[in-house]
Amino acid sequence: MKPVLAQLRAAVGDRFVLSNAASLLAYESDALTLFRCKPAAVVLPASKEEVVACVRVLHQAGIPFAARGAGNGLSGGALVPEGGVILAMARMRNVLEVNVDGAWAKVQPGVVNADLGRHVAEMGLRYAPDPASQTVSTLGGNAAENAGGPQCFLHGTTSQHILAAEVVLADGTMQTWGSATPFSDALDLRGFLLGSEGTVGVIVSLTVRLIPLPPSIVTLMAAFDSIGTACAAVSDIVSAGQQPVALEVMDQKTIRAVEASVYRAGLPVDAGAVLIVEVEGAEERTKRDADAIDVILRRHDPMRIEKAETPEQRLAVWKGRKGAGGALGQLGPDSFVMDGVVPRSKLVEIMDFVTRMEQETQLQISNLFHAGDGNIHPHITYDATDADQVELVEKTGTRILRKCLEMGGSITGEHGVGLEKHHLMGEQFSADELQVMEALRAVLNPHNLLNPGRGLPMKRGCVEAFHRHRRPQLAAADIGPAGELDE
Amino acid sequence: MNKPHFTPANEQEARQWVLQAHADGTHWMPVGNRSRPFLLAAGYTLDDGAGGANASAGASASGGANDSGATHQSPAATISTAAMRAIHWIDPEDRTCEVDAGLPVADLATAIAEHGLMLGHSSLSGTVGGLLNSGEPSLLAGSCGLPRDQVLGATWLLPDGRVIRSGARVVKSVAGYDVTRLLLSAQGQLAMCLRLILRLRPLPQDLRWYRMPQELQRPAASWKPWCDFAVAENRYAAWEGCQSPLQDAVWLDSQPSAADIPTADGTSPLHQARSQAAQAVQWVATATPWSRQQMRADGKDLSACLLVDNLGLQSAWTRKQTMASLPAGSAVLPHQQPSPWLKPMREALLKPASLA
Repeated sequence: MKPVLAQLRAAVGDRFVLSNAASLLAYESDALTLFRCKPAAVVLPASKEEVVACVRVLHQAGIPFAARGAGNGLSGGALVPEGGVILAMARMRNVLEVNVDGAWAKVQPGVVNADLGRHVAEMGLRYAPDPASQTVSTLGGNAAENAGGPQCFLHGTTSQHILAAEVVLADGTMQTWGSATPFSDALDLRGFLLGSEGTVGVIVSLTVRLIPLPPSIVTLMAAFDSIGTACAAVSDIVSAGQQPVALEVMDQKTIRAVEASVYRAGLPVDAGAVLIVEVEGAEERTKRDADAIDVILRRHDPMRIEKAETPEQRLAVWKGRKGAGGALGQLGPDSFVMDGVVPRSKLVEIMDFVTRMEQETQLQISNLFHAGDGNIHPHITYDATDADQVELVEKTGTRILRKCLEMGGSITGEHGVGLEKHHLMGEQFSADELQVMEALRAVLNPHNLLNPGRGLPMKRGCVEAFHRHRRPQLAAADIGPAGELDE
Repeated sequence: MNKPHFTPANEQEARQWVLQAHADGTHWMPVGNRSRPFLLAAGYTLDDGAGGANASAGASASGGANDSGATHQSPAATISTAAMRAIHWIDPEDRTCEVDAGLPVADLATAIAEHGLMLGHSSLSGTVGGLLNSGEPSLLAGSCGLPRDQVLGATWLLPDGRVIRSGARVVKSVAGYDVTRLLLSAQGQLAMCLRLILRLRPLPQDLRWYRMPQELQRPAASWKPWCDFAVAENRYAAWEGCQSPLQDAVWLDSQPSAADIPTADGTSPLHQARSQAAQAVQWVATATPWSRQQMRADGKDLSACLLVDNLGLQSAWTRKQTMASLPAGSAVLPHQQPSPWLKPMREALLKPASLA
């Protein structure tokens, strides 16, 4: 048998198999830099046929592999254990078809979320899920993680917007699950695939649902003295039967980080919290709803309320909100972006707990969250060269997520379990529930070659394989023309 | 030996019956109140003629019916959720609730309406389990999504008697695999649904149904830009026992106006459809609405429907096939081959001997 690398090169062309240490560095982690592991090789297929060819080679050789989109995931979802291979989808970025009549589009997995939005906007349509990372994250990655985003409060998460997927299973067989007409008696393997964190199959195309662009949008920004007041206003808006598209909260640290960054949106730096509420629909209706929401907001003594009515004003507010993650990254050498969910009615309580954790640990924790969904994202700033601090960060994260579970919530709302949270799966689910998940996964991916160790609890020792906390140190000896697969 | 048709009073009785069926190797199927024909879609024959048996949830034991591509057999025994109809909790602030699968949909609607909430599905018939296992789209599909999109979590009785939960009680959770959608879509062939945790929506301020005149039906057929569910109405009609030529209806949540429809210059199908939809909405502005009761009673005449939801978004679905294309006097739905994955998944759900 030819060496595996040679077979992969034959499948996609020499240029598109990366195996020298310098090229591989970029692929040793995703945006959760707590975990790093350099793959043995990175392959860049250009078509589904090439994906099938690569997967067959890897399946035969028994080499673990994973698909990777933009590599901006936040749970360590696109890493492979040592000796593994990454299939990078960067060359599969075409919108294959837009069907205006049927209101759907068929895309390759490497298409960037916002690029699809721009592409279909001229036809009066949009793709609703809008993760904050949408300007870089790919639809394949969004589908694998069942990504959320601010607008998901109204429109639902990614799994409500993917009608069908073409998938290459771990043994190289191709499957099509779902269809553009979303009603079918078939077993919903499409649903099982979405959010499976790359462990069920390699997505080679997606048929996504498009919805009309709203004729009018009104965005309100209200500044309050504290997170608690902002959360109380959120509760009142929801109790009043209002159905905004998004309800987003940022705390003071986040506001200040945004205002000190290129994402500057003119947010009030003296406010304890800012609440962004957006309504969409026919003009009469958005006016009616925005007025009603304005009345509710005023009951909570806002420091100020601003209404963004022009697209420019609106974009500025969202630029601030969606750039907040990046802005917070400037607060220190390393960032740990958490993701947990509580019932919306417990938001104040969980935020109090996060504040107590911050005081107790002296770590810097900033907050921004999808208040409508009860989906929190504490953002911990730390220094990865300080091993004690890293340990404290992890322990703090675990305690916050345990609190979410205690309140009837979930350890992840949109980032996925990945490598970060598998140790908490046994606290959210019973042994039987985990066994059932594992057994169902094994039907589709029997040898666990596809993105092994993701999403479910791992056996002791497997995690260590991912070289936690190792900062990239490029030694001269690491740089060579070929990886281990050639030997 | 088990009773061939059993209606347990509680989960414990259900579990005992399923454990016995597992021990005997009996092939069984869960049902609700037998008001939906979806077992037929999975290829089962129906002995009692019209109406259709349908599972509200379900599971078949090992050695079950739908081996891939093979002939189908009726289950030897059925277990009904009909006596389990508790509402465990309603959380108005979170807009969620947990109910037994056997709860009638109409009872759920009444209970949650007191809190100003509704399920994101327009059907009021059958059990909650049956409705949400069916995957049947509704008039609210454009704004609320498909039935399975309304389910946040569930409790399941597996063929080997184990009880597991799936999903979560919060509106967003991506921890673990989406077992909920998978088991729901199996329509009783992998597990029996005992309880459901549901996402609820605020009741629109004003709900109206309109019967649309004949001349606006052609434009309605071109409203496909908002057509989420072109094939839905065939199933919908089957549920409602519809056999007659159909009329259109419009459902609005407030006094409509042409401004509810986005306008734009241009000649694309989307733009044309918008102007046609605008005509229809102008008509609606002067028409007398139906009551919800009338809609239920006359809904048998419903085929193409335009829904203007409370966002001003539009969703239409149009009839592609009529019941006339089906065998006379039959409620049998178009046959689909069962998924080849059903059998291996059923086997996977049995507890491995090493853990037993």
